This record gives sequence, structure tokens and C-alpha cells, in this order.
Amino acid sequence: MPWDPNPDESPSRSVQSGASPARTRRSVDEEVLEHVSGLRRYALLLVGDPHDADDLVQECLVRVIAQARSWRQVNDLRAYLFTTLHNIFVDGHRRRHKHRGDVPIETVIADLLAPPRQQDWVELRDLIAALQVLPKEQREVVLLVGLEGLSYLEAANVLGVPVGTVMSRLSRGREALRRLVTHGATTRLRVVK
Amino acid sequence: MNGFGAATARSTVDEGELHALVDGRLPAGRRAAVLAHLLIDGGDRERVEAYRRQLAGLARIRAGLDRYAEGFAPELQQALADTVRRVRRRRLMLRGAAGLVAASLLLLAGFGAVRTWQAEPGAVTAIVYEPEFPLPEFPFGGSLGQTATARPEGDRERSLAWLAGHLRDEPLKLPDLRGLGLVPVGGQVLTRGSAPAVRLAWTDGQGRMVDLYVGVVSSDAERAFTMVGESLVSLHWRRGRLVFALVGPAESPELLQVVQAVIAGIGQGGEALPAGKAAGPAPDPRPIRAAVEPVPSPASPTVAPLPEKAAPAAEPAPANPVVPVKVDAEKPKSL
Repeated sequence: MPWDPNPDESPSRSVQSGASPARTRRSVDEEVLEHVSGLRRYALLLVGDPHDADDLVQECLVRVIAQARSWRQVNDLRAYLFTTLHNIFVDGHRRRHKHRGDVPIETVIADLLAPPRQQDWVELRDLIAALQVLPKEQREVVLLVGLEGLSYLEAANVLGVPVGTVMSRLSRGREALRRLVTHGATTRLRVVK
Repeated sequence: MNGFGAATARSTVDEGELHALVDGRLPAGRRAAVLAHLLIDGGDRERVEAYRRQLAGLARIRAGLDRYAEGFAPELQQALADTVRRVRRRRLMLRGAAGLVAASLLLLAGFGAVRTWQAEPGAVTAIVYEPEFPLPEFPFGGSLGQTATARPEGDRERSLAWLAGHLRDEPLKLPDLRGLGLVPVGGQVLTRGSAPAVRLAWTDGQGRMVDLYVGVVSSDAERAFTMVGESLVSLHWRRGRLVFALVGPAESPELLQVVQAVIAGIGQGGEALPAGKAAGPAPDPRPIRAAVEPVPSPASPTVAPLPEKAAPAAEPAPANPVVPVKVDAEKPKSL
């Protein structure tokens, strides 16, 4: 039996699908800022460098707030923000990657995380290291769905790809993560988008 | 690994359904089939457990990064505030220009009111942290393998009555597994998890244990995680606010029947748990009656955790016990 991953959701891939009445009562700036923590967390694990991540979030926020007029019709602000961040990330990925420092992300995150137990930390460190080895297309999907809790359709909207592509990337990403965590993050992955 | 989207030769469960199960997004109508598939296919079961561990790890990273994510660097926050100010100033200028145009139009045309658009109110004050989606829960605590190997010391009916106190409008009926040769051997209230939860245990003719964990999670929680030892199988699903985990021996394909009986029995038959009964600080002293009798719903049901030690293993028999089933006389079958 074919399975519809989003049986109750519209197949529309656009996030600009109508005005939200509630939004007009609140400051758009405040509404945007509510999502900053999610954007920062996602960006950190996406780009692997806190400074690059904050630059990315900063650029995203500035762009969105500066264009506040045009996104008043956005229904799902969070998806819109993540979409903007994704676009900036894709545009500047090569530049940021070139300037990335040599400090492993798991070391950086170790300083940021609340101190976990030793056993927990070993597992988390392996997972963080493995995430950085994933192709970015797979890493994005794994993080959007697994870290930020987006539905498959929301993730598809953010990335501008069909839901089937999201699920395919999710499947490949999770399987690659499983192998990396099992066999070590030094395992080379064949890049499949 | 199975090809994505393609049904396997062994069952009709596809790869997408496995991920939907992991993500808590599998339609209720497909749960039984997917869980049954996992019982048969050890490889897929292992993968699903690995994916669950990944999600649990991401949840811990997310929780650990809360402090980081809250504290946007001051210079960036300042830069953002400056940007907002600039944008707002520009809007005010545009509003002024629009006002001038409108006034001119009014003067020239002399009709109607022309509305000018308003600048957005509000200001950048602080960056507010609000989780955008509920964190995955660990309703049953850590590894279930540690508890699943020993008989629960508490009383099954008292545990059920206690759990019933945490249900407001969702009736729960537990399945009768005697037909599968499983004899109830006890229950206990779980206090180490993130949600009110109980463990109910059955045993087969060979003394092997089958545990059903039932937890009441927040209404919008999507996921629940558990871990078990290598020799055990853990199957998870959710119905409304209730999360379930069935844990049994890994080498027992008959567990499929147990899963089906549990899923089928939750909605009909079996032993009923009344919804809407407030949970008190201690279990109801009339355990069996409390588990089967309807109790009027209080105006404001309260939820209070119960220490595990509050459920004694041995309890005095009530004066007029209502015993719904007598299972000890039945000869248990083997799994």
C-alpha cells in the first residue's frame, strides 16, 4: 500500500499561502526573534562553526526583517526563516567552508553544551562528528527533521525540494549516520544528494 | 538496506514507514503492520533502533544547546537592533511619503479616504526562547532492559488505577492476553521517566517476561524513546496521549500476536481504566474496583506523581473485592 507522508497537508510547496490573522497583533520583529534560538542551534550543527553560524543567522534575520513587508503574507514564519537561512547557506557555503577553522566541531560544541555524563558525551561527540561528515543535503534534512522537528512537508518547503526527495535524503542520511557512528566518522561517504 | 519507497519482498512495509515510525508520524492504521514487520525483520529492527538513538542524541544535543542558543552574542544582538531601527526609520519615511501622496490625492480628487499603511509597532527588547516543537520524551526513563528482566514488585491493578488518574478524557482499556497464554504477574509505577508511566508484566509458561509500558505524555509530544538490552525486543507506538512500549524476548516471533492483541484490545474489551479520575498522592486502596469502576470526573483533575515505593508489593484485600478476572488458575502457554 503506498504511503502518503503528509495525508492531511496541502501539496503546495510555497510557504507564502495566506495571511495569518494573529500576526497582525504582534510585532513582526518579536515574532522573528522567537525563532532565533532554533536558527542558531540549527546553523551551528549545519555549518560546524559558531562564528559562521552566527553570521549566517545574523544575515538571515537582517534579510527577513528588512523585507518584513513582503513576508507579511507568510503563513509559516518558522519555515520562511529556515528557508531564508538555507538559501543564504547554499549561496555562501563554499566561501564559509573555505574559511572554516581547524578546530573540530565536536570540540567546539563540547564547550557550549551543558556538561553531560561521560558516557553520554562520547555518544554525542560521535554523533556530532558523524553529522559533519554527511553531505550537506543530507545533513540539512536530518537536522531539520530530527533536531528542529519539522514535518517532512515543512522540510521540503524549506529546502525547495519535493517531499520524496526529503525522505530519500533522510533515509540516506540516517543510514550514513548509523554506519559512521558504528564504524567511526573517518569512514568516507559516497556523496549522494 | 531496502530500497527507499519500495516494498520489501517480505512485507508491504516500506522505508518511508520505518522513518515515519521513528519520527512519530506514522498513521495509526499502519502501526500494527510496521511493528509486525519489525518483529520479523531483525535488520530493519536494528536500523530503527539505531535511528531512534540518533534522534535521542539530537534531542540531548538540542537540550544541551539551549543555553547557547539563548545567548545571542551582544554585538550581533546590537547589530540586529540597529538593523531593525534602520528598517523602522525607513518605514516611517515611506509612511510619511505615502501620507503626502494620499493627502495630495485627497485634495486633487476630493473623494474617499485613502488609507496609508501603518508601520509595525513593537521594538527589539530581548531575544525570547520558546521551543518551537516539543522535545522528544523519555516517558519510561532509561534502559528498559534493566527492569524487564525482573518481575515488577508492585501491584498491577494499583498501578493501573494510578495511571488512570492521569487520563482526563481518553479512556484506556488494556488487553486481555490470557488467550495467548500470558499470565499477569505484576505492575509498577515508573518514576524515572519524563511522564507518568507504568509497567505491566506478563509471563509465559517458561517464565519469560513480556512487559507493556504505558505512559501518558503531553498532548503534542511526537516521540517517545526507550532503549532495551540486546536479548530483548522493544516495540513502540502511540495512541493520542498514550505511548506504549512492548518489551519481550528477542527470539519470540509469537510477540507479533501479543502486539496485535494489545493494539486491538486497547480500544475494546479487556480491562477498562476510567478516564478523569484524579491521581492522588498515593494509589487507591481499592485497587481492583478502582480500575474497573467509572469514577466521576472532578472539575479540575490534578496530576501528582507517585513515588514508586508508595505502591507496596503486598496489600490488604479489600472488604468486598471486585475481581474482574481470575488468571492464576489458567495454565500459561509458552511464548
